[in-house]
Amino acid sequence: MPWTFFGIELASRALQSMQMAMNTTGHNLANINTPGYSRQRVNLATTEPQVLQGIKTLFMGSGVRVDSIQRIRDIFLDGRVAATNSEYQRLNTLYQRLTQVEDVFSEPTDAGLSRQIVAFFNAFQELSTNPENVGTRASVYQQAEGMARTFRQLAGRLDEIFAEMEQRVQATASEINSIAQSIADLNVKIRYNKALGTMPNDLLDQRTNLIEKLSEYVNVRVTDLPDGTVRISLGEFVLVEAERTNTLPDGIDYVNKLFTDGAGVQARIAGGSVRGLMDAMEYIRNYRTRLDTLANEMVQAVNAIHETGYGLDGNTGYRLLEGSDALTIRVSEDVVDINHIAAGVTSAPGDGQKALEIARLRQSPLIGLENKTIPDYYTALVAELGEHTRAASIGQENQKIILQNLQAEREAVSGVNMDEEMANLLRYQRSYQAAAQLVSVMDATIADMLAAFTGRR
Amino acid sequence: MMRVSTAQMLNAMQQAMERNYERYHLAQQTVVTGKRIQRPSDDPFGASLGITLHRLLQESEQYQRNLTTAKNFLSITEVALENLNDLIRQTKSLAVQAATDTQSAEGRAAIAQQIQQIMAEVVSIGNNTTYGDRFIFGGLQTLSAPFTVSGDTLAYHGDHGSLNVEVSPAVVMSINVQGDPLITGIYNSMAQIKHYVETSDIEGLSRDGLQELQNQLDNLLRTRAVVGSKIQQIEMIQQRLDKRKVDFTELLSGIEDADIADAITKLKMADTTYQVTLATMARLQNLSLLDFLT
Repeated sequence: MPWTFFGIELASRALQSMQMAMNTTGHNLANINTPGYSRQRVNLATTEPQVLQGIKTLFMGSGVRVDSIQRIRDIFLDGRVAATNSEYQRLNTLYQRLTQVEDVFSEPTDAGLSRQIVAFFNAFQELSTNPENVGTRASVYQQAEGMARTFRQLAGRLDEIFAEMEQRVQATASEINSIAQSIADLNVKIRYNKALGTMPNDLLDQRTNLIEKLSEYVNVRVTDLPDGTVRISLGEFVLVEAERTNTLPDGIDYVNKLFTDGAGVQARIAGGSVRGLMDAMEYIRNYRTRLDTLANEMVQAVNAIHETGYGLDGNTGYRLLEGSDALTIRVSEDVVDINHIAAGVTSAPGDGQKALEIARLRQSPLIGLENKTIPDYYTALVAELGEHTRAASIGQENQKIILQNLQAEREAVSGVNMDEEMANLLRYQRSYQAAAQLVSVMDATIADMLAAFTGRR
Repeated sequence: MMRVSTAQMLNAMQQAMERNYERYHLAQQTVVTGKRIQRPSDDPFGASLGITLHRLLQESEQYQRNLTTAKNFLSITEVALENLNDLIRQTKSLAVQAATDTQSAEGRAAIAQQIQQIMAEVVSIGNNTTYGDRFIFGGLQTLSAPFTVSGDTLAYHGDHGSLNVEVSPAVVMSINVQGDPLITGIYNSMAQIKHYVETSDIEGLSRDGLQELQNQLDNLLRTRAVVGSKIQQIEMIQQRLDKRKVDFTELLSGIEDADIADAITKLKMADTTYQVTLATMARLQNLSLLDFLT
C-alpha cells in the first residue's frame, strides 16, 4: 500500500509544477515585446513511479514534475541573422553617407559646380567679345571667385564629412570594446550556471543580443566553446575569449579596412556599419582627390594661357587663379585690379584673343584629366557618385528584405504568441484547479479514515 | 504551418506600413517637384546626361549673346559702309562733272569744295562709327578715334587686328573691318580727285582719278558682300541655336521630368495601400483570445 499522504504529496507536486508552468507562461507574456527574447517552455515529466510489491509488482505513477525550462531557439538562424545584419548595416551606412555626399555636390541644381564652371567659361566668352568693358571684366572676376568658392566649399564639406566619419569609427570602436567586456562578463556567469547543471536561458538571450549588436558594427566570427562560453573574433583578431577581452587597436586604416596599432596587431573589418563607414571614407577620398585634380588642372591650364596674355595696363605674366587643389583654389591677387585680366595677346584694348582661348579651354581634352575635357571630367565624377550611391541603395534594400525574412523565420521559432500562451495558461490553470480539487478530496478521505479509527466524526 | 508570434505579426505590419509610407512619400515628392531625378543616384546615366544638356543650354545662351554682339557690330558696320558707298558715288558724279571741258574754273573750285566736304564726311564715318563706346574701324585699338587729318593726308592710328567672336563651338568669326586700307584708300582716292580738279588736270582726272575711285568702290562692294554674308551666316546660326534650344529643352524634360499622370496614379495607389494596411492593422489588433476569455 502507498503511504497515507501519498495522494496529497502527488497533488502538491502537481500544484507546484502547474504554478511553475503558469509562471513561465507569465514570463513569456511579460516579454512579448522584449527584443531578442526567446520563448521558454516548461518540459513536464512524470516523477519516479512508486513500486508496490504485492501479489503482483505494480508501478504506480507518482505525479508530475518540471523536468526543465527550455529556451526555444535555432542557433543556426542566429548566425545567419548576424551575418546578414552585418552586410545590411554596411550597405545601409554606405548608402546614408553617400547620400550626404550627393547633397554636398547638389547636382543637378543651379548650386552645383557644373553650372559654376560653365558660367566661368561663359564670362570669358563674353570678355572675348567685349574686352575693354569694365563690367565684363568685373563679371569674369566674380565668376572666377564663385567657381573657386564652390570648389572650396565642396572640398571643405567633404573633409568635414570625412572627419565626422573618422570620429564615428573611433566612437564605435570603443562601443565595441565595451560590448566585448559585457559578453566576457556574461561568459563567466553562463559558464558558472552551466557547471551547476542549469541553463541560464535569459543570460543566453542577453549574450545573443549583444553579439547581434556587435555584428551591426563589425562582422564577427562566433565560436561556441564546450564550457558554454563563446570566442568572438574579427579575422585573426580575438576580441573575446571566455572571460578575457582584447581591446581594438586605435589606428584606422580605411584603405585596407582594418584597425591597427601599427606594430602588427590588426583587426580586419569585413562588414557592419564600421566597414560601411570605411568604404564611404575611401569613396570620399577618391572624389576629393579627383576634385583636387580638376581644380589643379583648372589653375594650371587657365594660367598657362592667361600668363602669356596682356592686361589693359600693357603688362603680361599675370596669374588668374592660384592654388594647387580644391581646398586652396582662389582668384589670384594679380587680377584684383581687373584691368590686369589678360584678355588679349596684345595690350590693344579690343583684343579678346586670350579670353577666347581660355573660353575654348573647356572644349579641349586635358592630359591631366585622363584626356577628358573639364566639364566631362566633372560630369563623370558626379555620374560615378550616382552609380555608387545607387548600388549601395539597391544592395541595402535587398539585404533588408533578406534580413527581415530571416528575422521572421527566427521569430516563428522563438517568438511569443499571445494566443498560444493564453491557451497554455488556461490549460495549466485547469490542471491546477484539478490538483487543488485532488488535495481537498484526499483531505476529506483522510479525515474519513481518521474518523473511522477514532470513532469520532 | 508556420508559427507566427505576436511580435512578428506586429513587426510585419509595421514594416509594411513603413514601406508603404516611403512609397507614398516618394510618389508625393515626384508629384510636388515634377522631377524624376532629384539626385544623381536616382538615375546616374540620366543625371550625367542632364548635366551635359544643362551645360550645352547654358553655353548656347552665351553663344546667343555672342551672336547678338557680332550681328549688331556687323550691322553698324554695314550702315557705315553703305554711307561710304553713297559718298563715293557722289564723288564720282562730281568728278564726271568736273571732267567736262565746258566746266568753268569757278565751277571746278566749287566742285573741289564739295569733294572736300565729302572727304570730311568719310573721316567722320571712320571716327564716329561706334558700337557702344568702341570705335569699330580701328582694329583692336577700340578706345581711340582711328583717324587724324592734316592737310589732305589721313593718318591711321588703329591696327590691323581682327576682333574674333566664337559664334558656335569651334567656329570663330572675325567681325571687324579695319579702317585701313578701306577708309584710307577711299579718302586718298578722293584727295587725288580733288587735286586733279583743283589743278584742272582733266586727263589725269578721267584716266587715273576715276579709275582709282572705281577700284575703291569695287573694294567697298566686296567688303560689303563679306559683311552681308556674315550677317546672313549669323542669322542662320541663330535659328539653328533656337531650334537646338527647343530640342535640348525637350530632351532634358524627357530625362528629368516626371510623368505626372503616372506619378499621380502611383500616389493614389500608395494612398490606397496605406489605408488598407492601417485598416488591416486595426482589425488584427482586435483578434485575440483575450477578448473571448472572461
